Amino acid sequence: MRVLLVEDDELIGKGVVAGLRNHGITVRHVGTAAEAETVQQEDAYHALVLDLGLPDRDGLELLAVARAFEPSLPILILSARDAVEHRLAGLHAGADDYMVKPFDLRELAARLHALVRRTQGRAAQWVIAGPLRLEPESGLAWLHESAVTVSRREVDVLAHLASANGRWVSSDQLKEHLYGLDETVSSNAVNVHIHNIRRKLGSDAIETARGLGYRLGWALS
Amino acid sequence: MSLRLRAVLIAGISLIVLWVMAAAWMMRDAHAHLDRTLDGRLAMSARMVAGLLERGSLQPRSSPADFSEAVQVRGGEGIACEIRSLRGEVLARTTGSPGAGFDSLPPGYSLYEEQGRHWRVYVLQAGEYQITTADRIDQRNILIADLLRAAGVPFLVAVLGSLIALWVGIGRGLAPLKVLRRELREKTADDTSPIAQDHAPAELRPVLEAMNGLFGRLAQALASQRAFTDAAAHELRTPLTVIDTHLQVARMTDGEEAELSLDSAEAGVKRLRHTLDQMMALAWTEAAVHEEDVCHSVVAAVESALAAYSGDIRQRVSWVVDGTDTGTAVPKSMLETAVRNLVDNALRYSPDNETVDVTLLFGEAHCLITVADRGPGLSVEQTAQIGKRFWRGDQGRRAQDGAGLGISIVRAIAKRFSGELTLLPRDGGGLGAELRIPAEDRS
Repeated sequence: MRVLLVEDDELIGKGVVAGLRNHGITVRHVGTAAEAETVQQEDAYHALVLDLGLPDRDGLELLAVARAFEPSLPILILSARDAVEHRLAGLHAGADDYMVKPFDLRELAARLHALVRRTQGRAAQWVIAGPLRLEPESGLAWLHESAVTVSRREVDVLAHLASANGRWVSSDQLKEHLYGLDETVSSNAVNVHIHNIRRKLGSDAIETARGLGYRLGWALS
Repeated sequence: MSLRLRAVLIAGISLIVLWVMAAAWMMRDAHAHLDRTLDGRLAMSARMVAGLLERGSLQPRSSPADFSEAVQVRGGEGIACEIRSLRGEVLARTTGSPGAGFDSLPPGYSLYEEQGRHWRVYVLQAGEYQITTADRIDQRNILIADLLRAAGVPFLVAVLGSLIALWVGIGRGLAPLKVLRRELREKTADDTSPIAQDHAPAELRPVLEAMNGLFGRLAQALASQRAFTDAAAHELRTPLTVIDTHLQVARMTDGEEAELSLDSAEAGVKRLRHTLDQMMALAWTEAAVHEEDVCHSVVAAVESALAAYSGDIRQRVSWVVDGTDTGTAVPKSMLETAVRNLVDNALRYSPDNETVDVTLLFGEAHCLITVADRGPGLSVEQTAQIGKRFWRGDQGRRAQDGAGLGISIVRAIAKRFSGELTLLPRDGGGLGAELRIPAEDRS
């Protein structure tokens, strides 16, 4: 999962990037509203984490712009302004959630996962398909009730395929989901992940169809 | 005392005094008039009797006779008439007449007392007769009292009625006050909206205007206080968040990443400490000054303020002195704090290769300390904002230090000691901060 963080404080930004990385979230950190707009046009993100006191513009303005361009983008405000009026203003302006600084990184990660899960139409935190049980937030997976070690990216691939709900997902879509529009990532990277998943979960875990892409080998239950 | 009671008392007492004076005047006049009228009647009765006697109905008898032989006529209670011959014989009299006393009275009006009873008497001598008519004074008084009682009852009713009308009327008149009282009572503690004055009477308008003005100022004060606490919370929470977040990361990770996080947490602690120091300094500018904290030498104070910098940073500050050091009325510790804050700001916003120039200029009664930098300077908008507590120029945010209190602290010190801080654009770019402080009072 990739998240765009707009936070003017360099140190807080660094902390969030490092902290969320440990919760399976890739964070792109920018310090101004202008940078945020540029970055958002370049790449697609699963969620936006927004500080309100930005140096070049008010965070609520940026929120309105982001909302207008991407109506379904989950937006979480992360602010030191804790008064009820501020929280109400943020939520009324279109934010999906509001957290007051200082905050618990685990809670931030959990809330981001929950927000993204909702937009992908999943209510439960579990993905259960055939013998596979997957917990995308913690990155844990079980096959026939015994734990399997899978990497972050592999969990991401499985979760994304699960959210496609039986439809085929092309290799390019999968790559964009994992790495954004980063040109430096080779198209082979996705294949490597697929190969590793099959090695760990069995070859029938993921089906391949030439020209169509990939899909989960088991039906969701 | 309630306004209503007060108004009713003032108006009521004046009314009662006026009514009582009018009543006294009326009583006195009525008494005099009635006396005159009754006197006139006495005289008229006497003349009427004299007229009848002239027709010869009663002849004086030749022989003297006592009362028992006189013609006795039944008169009314309290009224008497007596006819005598000029020789003193009683020819006729009413039954209620007093005894022999009437014969000694002079002609005309007089007063007569017999057996404790007072009579008003009129004696008329006409032809051969002396006619005496008399009224009992107590009867007369009863008559007058009756008359006054008849006039007095409506009078009293009018007095009481006007007092009641006064009470009710003033109560009605004060109704807008009652409405205002209710409105004020229903206001919540933080409701500073103005009170509507469309229907308020003219007398209340100035009060309402003053009150609404007060509400306006109160709202402003509340808003600025809220802005201050918001900003203070933000300034304290941000470094706290840095510390908290990086400690969490340090706990999750190990090795180099954990080390980096701990470094960041330390940087956060430093910032938090700086913010707290600045907040304390701002509070301290308003605190009492120690009597030994005096400044005989501005140069020494500036020197000691600059001594806090070391190495390369100290090299970036240059300073010159012009004139004779006269000392200043500002305590040494506060002057050091002010200079320190100005130099901090100048260093923060200047490029690293530019010097910060400090100039001390001593005048007759003041000292001018100028701290000039080659930073980006201030826009018109920023000049209006600077000095607001916790406000920082946009440039300051990237530097991640400074609490946005420096200029506030210097301003507070200047204001307390009748000094002044002026921020001016510097020739050739940058900003010049001029702190003017009064010279030491050596008298």
